[in-house]
Formats: sequence, C-alpha cells, structure tokens
Amino acid sequence: MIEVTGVKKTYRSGETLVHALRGVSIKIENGEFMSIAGPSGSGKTTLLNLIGCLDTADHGSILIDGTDISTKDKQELALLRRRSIGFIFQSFNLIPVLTAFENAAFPLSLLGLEEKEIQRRTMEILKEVGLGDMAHRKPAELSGGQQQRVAIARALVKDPQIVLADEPTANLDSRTGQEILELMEGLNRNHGTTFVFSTHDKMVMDFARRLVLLHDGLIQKDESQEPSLGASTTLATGVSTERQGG
Amino acid sequence: MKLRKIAWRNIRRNGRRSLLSMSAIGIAAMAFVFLFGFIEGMKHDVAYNIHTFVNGEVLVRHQDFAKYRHLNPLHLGVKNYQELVSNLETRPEVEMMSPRIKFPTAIYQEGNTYRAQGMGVDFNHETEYQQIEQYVVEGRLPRNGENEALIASGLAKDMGLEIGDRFTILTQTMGRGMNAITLNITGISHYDFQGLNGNFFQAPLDRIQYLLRMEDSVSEILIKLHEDYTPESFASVLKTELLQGESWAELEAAPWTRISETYNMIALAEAIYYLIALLFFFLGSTVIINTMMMTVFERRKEIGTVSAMGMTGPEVVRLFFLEAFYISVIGSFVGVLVGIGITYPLSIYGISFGAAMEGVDFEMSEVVRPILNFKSTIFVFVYSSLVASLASLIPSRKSAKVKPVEALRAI
Repeated sequence: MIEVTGVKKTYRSGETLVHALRGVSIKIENGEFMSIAGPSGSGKTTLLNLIGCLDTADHGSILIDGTDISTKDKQELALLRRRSIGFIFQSFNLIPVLTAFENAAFPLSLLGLEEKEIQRRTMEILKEVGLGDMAHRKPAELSGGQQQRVAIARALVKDPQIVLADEPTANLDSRTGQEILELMEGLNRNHGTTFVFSTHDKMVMDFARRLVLLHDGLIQKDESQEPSLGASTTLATGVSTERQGG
Repeated sequence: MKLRKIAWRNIRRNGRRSLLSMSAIGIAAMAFVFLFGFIEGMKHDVAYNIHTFVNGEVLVRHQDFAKYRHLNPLHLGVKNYQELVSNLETRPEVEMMSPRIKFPTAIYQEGNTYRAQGMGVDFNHETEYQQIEQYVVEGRLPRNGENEALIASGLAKDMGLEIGDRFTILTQTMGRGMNAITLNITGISHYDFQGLNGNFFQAPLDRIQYLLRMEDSVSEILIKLHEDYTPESFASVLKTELLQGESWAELEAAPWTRISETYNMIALAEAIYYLIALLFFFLGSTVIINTMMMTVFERRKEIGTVSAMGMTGPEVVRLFFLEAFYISVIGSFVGVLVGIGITYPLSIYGISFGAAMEGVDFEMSEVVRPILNFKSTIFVFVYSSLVASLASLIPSRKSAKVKPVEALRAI
C-alpha cells in the first residue's frame, strides 16, 4: 500500500515559483487500477514522480508498504525503483540501440537474474503484450502502439508492486490508445499489479476504476467509478487484490 | 543486457562523431608509435656509432686525458698497451677491443694546408671492431707496418686525391717535437656516420706510434662487451682488478653512458618525449571529453529512463565510461596499427637526413632506421587508452549528477 499524506511540492521555473502540489493526501491499495486526471499544470506528473521516488516532497510523507521514502538516500531509492516500481512513459522512452526483447529484459538484468530466467520471463511478458514474434526488432522498426507495448512489458517484467504510467496514450491514436488501456487493464487483472496512470483525456480517465481529479495542486475529486470501456466490473477504491503471476 | 553491450552499441549511434573521437586519439597514438620508433632507432644508431667509432662501451684511457684533451696530451696514454690487450682478451666480458691513437695533423698539398684528424688503428682489430671493410668504397685497407692510409671521401675530394696518390702529414710528437710522414692512399672510406666523412684518415697503428714517438703506448682502448654484461659494472671491475700496478694505476675505465654527452642528451630527450606524449594524449582526449559531454547532454532523457528503472548513479557513469573506453581503445589500437604500418617500412629503408647532418657534431648517421619496439608500442597503446579513458571520466561523472525527474523532461 502507498500512503501519501499532506504532500507539498514547489519548484522554480525561471523566476517564478510553481506550487505543483499544495497538500495532497491519498491512499493507493495494492491491485488498484487508478487514474490521476486533471488539466496541464494540475500536478499529475509531479505526484507520479513523487510516488515513483524520482523526486522528493518538500512537505508531507510518502509511505510505501509502511516505509517513509524521505528517509532513504539516492542509492536506496534507485534500488527501491529497481525492485518495486515500473514506469511507462508518454513517449515510450525505449533505448533505441536495444531490441524489443533487450528493452523488456533490461530491468531483469539490473536485478542480476540468470540469463535463462531473464529469457523465460521476458519472452513470457512479450507474448502477453502481443509482441512474441517481434522480440528482435529495434524500437525504430515498431509502430507507436507496439513501442508502448514494449514499454509496458518492460514495466511489468520484474513483477513490480506498482506501475506508474504518465499519459501512456497521449502519443497514440485513439484506437491504439484504447488497445493499450485494455492491455494494461488485463495485466492488472491477471497479475494483480497496481496501475496508476495520469491523463487529461476523458476517454482514458473513464477507463479507470478509481479516478482522482487534481486541480491546481489539490485533489478535487477522488472516487470509484464503473469503467466505461473494457470488461472490468471490479470495484475499485480500497479493493485489495491478491497478487498473482510472476 | 550487459552494460558493455549497450555501451558498445551506443558507439554506433553517431558513427561519424565516434569516428572523429577515435581519430583524435588514433592520430596521437600513431604519431607516438612512429616517434618512439624513431627515438629508439636514433638511440640504437648513436649507441652503435659511439661504441664503434668514439668511446666503445667501456673506454680505457689515462684518468687526466679528458681534462687536457684540447692540448693533445699524447703523453697521457695507455702504456704497455699490448700486455693490457692480452689481459683483456682473457676476460669473458670482452667481446672485442680496439687500441687507437687519435691525433690532429696538418696536411700540405700543392701549396694548401688542410687540417685533418688522424687515427692510428690496428687494421687486424678494426676488421672485426669497425667491420671496416664495408666502409671502403674504393681501393683496399692499409696494411699494418706500411706507410699507407685509408682516407675519408670528403678529405679525398677536398684535396683532389685518388687511390695511389701520396700525402704528407705534419704533427706534434708525444715529446712536443714536430714530425712528418708521407702516406700512400690505398683506400677511400665513406661512413654512414657523417662525422667520419670529412677531414679524417686512418693509418696503421705501428706507423703512427713511430711518427708520434709513442713507443708501446696508445691514447685509448675501446672495448665492446658481450650482451650479458653492463658497461658500468665491467668498468668498475676493470678498475679494481686489472688497472693496477705501476703501468696502469693512472688509467680509468669509463662506461660510455657516463662520458657520452650525446647519449645523455638522447636519454633526456626520450624522457621529454614521454611528457609530450602525455600532453598529446590529453589533447586527443579533449575530443572524447567533448563527445561524451554532448552525448551525456543528448541522452539526458535516456539517463532519466534508466534511472527510473533503478539504475544507480555509479552504474550510469559506468555505462558512459565504457562507451568512452571503447572509443579510446579502438582509436588507440587503430592508431598503433597505422603507426606500425608507417614505421615498419621506414625501419627497412631508413630516413635519410642527407645534407642536413653535414657539419653537425652529433654521433648520428646520415640514414636513421626507426626501430619498432614491442615494449614501447604496447606502452603507446596502453598509455593512450588509459589517458583518454581517464579523461572521459570527467564528462561520464556528469551523467550521475543528472536528476532523473529533470532528465525525463528533456526533449
């Protein structure tokens, strides 16, 4: 479980101070499929970065499974991300010199697993995202949707506690975007991995089982919802789904 | 996915830039393979000339000879030299030796006076010691016991003399009287060592001893040693074991490394070249530093991504360092290969300094052949790879300072 309490974050943009988060509190249970929505500048990405241990809060605390991440140094935070957090980026952020397989396998290499195990798990997840036969293609040889599938495989391959996706469909057409969301939802269902994704797209926010709406660095709305697309009927907020797979 | 595999592939991302970086370090490596080969060749050449024509590896002479050498101190000679030569012949360290008398002369020829440097030598010894026959370009060697001379091509040309001609030399004897002798020219010599091609001639030692009234003395004995022995240790052994008693107590045995200014100058030059090499490799490395700085800047987003995946700062540094290391190693390796490609043919055909060496008081031959030395070639490779890699640590370390959250915002 992730507990965000009274988090504030201010950063400087040129001469101006930007109050990105003004006191945000939120609890994210294991297995949630949650959307953080809001207009540009509302603090979505900042909140994701803080939860993902990429940045530190000015005030408040963030607990991941009871551990306050503000007490950890850079090295410890990197190791925490390595083990427990997967990221999906708006522009995929694949390493261009690596094949789809190598990109997806990268987090497992960092964990120091044996080659055989890396091979097995990577091929398994690539098949799951529908890229089993494109494993040896470089990112430049894949479409945007396929690249995002590789990025999803890369985030999921280490079986993380949480996957954070920053506007995962923003660079995709609506049909591909929906496919990606369905894929993420399916993986959430099959693996029990928590998914938190940011968006300002109505279609995407409707897809989540829990919607947190941010405005000017404050939570305006936090509620469970019936996903309008996809097959999920599971209740969202507070539902603890047992983790499977791995 | 191993870091070194990623680093290796990253080199090809901007092939032309990587090639430029490799070229910078490669050109420096190439230049220094050649330069060290040239220095080695020059050292070898100068050492051969000094050993053969000037000092030997160990020079036996009167201890005060050097002090008064400008006064032609023939009285400060090696007395009873034949007995000393016989003793030296029994020493296992001695490979060969050459007893000599060097003396200044004036030559009168058809109303003109020429200054020349004469050298009395035992031609039986010199056949082995100088391998003198290879330098006789015309005629034959003089015979011991005859008033004959082998004159340098330059002197023959200046005086307009040919084989069969005669010339008279006038000089000061050991007792400071004047004496003269007429010598028949039996041969004309031409050496690679330009210093011996000017006003220089060689005549039989016994006739020069007679001319100079030196009886059984010579001015010096040059000794070459077998490979296993060092001049310094043999010189010290010689002084304590052999150069004793009434005849020889005032003699010194000097290793050539101590008395040759040229050798000491080359040794100093060599040390300076190593320092210059270091500077050159640093200069070459600046291109790699620049490339890596650009690379780190361009790949900020990638740094953010791998950091987000849990790569630690030192691992990110290693990734960039490995890339620079490969560029350095490939650049150095290719540079060394090209350097070998340039130096090897020159080591066979030599580099001719021709007229540039005329009148230069330096024991270097007209043609210098660079020597490809395995040790120095490996040194250049390791040295250039190391300097360039270490220099690349500066920009590589910058990659660890990139904050993931800021890096991810980079376009």
